[in-house]
Amino acid sequence: MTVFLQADGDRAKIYASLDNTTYGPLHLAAIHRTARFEEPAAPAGKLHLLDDFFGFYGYPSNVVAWVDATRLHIEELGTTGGRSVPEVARYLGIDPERMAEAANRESVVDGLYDPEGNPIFLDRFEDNWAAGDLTGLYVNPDAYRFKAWLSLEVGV
Amino acid sequence: MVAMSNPRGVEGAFRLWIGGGAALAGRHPDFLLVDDRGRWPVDRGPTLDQLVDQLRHLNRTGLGDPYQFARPNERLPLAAVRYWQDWVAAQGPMVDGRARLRMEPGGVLVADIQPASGEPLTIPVEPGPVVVATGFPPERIIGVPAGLTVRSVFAAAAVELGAADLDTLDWYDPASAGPALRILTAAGRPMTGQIGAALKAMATWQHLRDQLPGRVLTGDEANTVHARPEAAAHWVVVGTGAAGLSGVSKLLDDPSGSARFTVVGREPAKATLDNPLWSKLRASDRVRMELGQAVTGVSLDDDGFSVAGVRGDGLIVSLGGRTGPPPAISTVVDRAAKDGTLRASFLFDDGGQYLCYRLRIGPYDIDVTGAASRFPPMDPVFTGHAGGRYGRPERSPDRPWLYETTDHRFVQVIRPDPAEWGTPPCAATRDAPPESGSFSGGYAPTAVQATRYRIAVLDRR
Repeated sequence: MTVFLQADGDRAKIYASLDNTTYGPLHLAAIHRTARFEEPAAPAGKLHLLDDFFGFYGYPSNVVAWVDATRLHIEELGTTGGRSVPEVARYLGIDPERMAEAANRESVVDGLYDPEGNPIFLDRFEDNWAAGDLTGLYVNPDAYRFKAWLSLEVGV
Repeated sequence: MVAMSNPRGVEGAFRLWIGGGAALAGRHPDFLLVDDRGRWPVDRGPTLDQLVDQLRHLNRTGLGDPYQFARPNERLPLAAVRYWQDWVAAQGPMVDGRARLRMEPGGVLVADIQPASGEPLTIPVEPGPVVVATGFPPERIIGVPAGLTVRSVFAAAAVELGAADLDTLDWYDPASAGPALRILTAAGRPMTGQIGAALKAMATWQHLRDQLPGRVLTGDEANTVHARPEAAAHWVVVGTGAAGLSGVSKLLDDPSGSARFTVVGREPAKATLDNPLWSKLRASDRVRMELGQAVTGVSLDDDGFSVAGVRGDGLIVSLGGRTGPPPAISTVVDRAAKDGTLRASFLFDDGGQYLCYRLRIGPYDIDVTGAASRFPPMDPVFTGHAGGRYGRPERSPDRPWLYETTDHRFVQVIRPDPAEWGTPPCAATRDAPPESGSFSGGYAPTAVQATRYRIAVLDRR
């Protein structure tokens, strides 16, 4: 199983570890459990698990607790739940418009439309960090791809 | 009108064709047609959205020649559509009305028919193909969380209850939510969490529809002449779905209308922003946009209702997510799924044209074609998979001129695999070429599909 690692000294350097081989650093589109990796890497310096992002980079304890408390529901039917875009933007100090725009990109299946002409949405959480339909958007701040997006596109 | 001069049934049973529209291009005169002339015959607009040149493939369906009614760069008048459909419908026995299939004890399939005029009647259905072409199935209900379907909500509630008390209800029918809530309450197991919220949302939707007739509409209904813009002073439009936006555009065009509209929901995707409809709505001083916030449901209070803080006296909901089978067959599909007697597959002809999805229950083959076939129901009928499938399905073992599969990815890719290169092929993208200006569930693609369905399935039985 692919494990994603992050350089202690540079959050923009994210690697995949699979079958005792490390690949990277990766761009956002490649940070996906089913992605194929081709270029082995020998990262310099220490790495930590991408999953430990919030704790490792010293986010306030209330934010870490809020991330940990995010619930996805009804696993046997597909996961729903999560947090609203405005709530995530508020907790993490991100411009709400930027947050919504990024969540849109994450939840819309680019280039595919349903037979009525509506965009196709990822309407449940799996490897994507935002889910939605025409009613709105929900975000899973504990998702590894969300942590990668924060690392690569939002920065410090 | 009821006209059954030539039913040609075997032992009193009928070959049955439910629904009309563009699928009438494949209409077989030996089948009893039951259709209430919905959607395009009652559409509020004067034309189809496509230009005549974009509809040129209709020429080879036998339904009609669009060039007889307008110039190549003009839109096709709906009067032509009505003329074609009525003319083709009258080629065989027909009932102007609605039908719903039901399984009687002993495994006899019957159709309960409600004619537009006259008394209801029930007829037995002949084994073999039953054609269902009832158009787009219903959209998602407001307040039901994304990721859940109507049926999955009832299935989860039944698991929670730990008994068969909900078994007799139709799990595809949102109207079952009220009885389900009463059963759960009586059992001392009131549902909380998302399943409880979803059941309450469905019951609220039914309640509003009953209490405010003509003022609580689906996006599809907003497109028809039955929608009256003056029924409300302020319509809240939930979602940026294609059907809802199209309906609002037509209601705005009504010369007697002065109603205001407020659209709530997520920011539209790029394809919607590029649609001229969107520009038209944005330019209207009677339309306000309150976008970018999640809509969790309808709030009821003493003065009426509000959605995402917006109060109105009319409601139009268009949220996409058409996930269930057509209502005409939902009861028999639900029962067969619960009993484990349902087999389902997708059929293609030897040219790769997607024909229908087939639901086999005993000796009956319920073939869903047309726009409805483009939204196949997932669990427990078909199983969802990520990614695409390449090539073509296997030949059908007992009908080698057909290709048959249970894999929905040949029809519609719903979740691409990120490791794949490009957009995977599927019938949804193949059957409506870009120059058609349409989608796979649109008018011309449906007419082509139904024609080839008749040739490959009905004529070669």
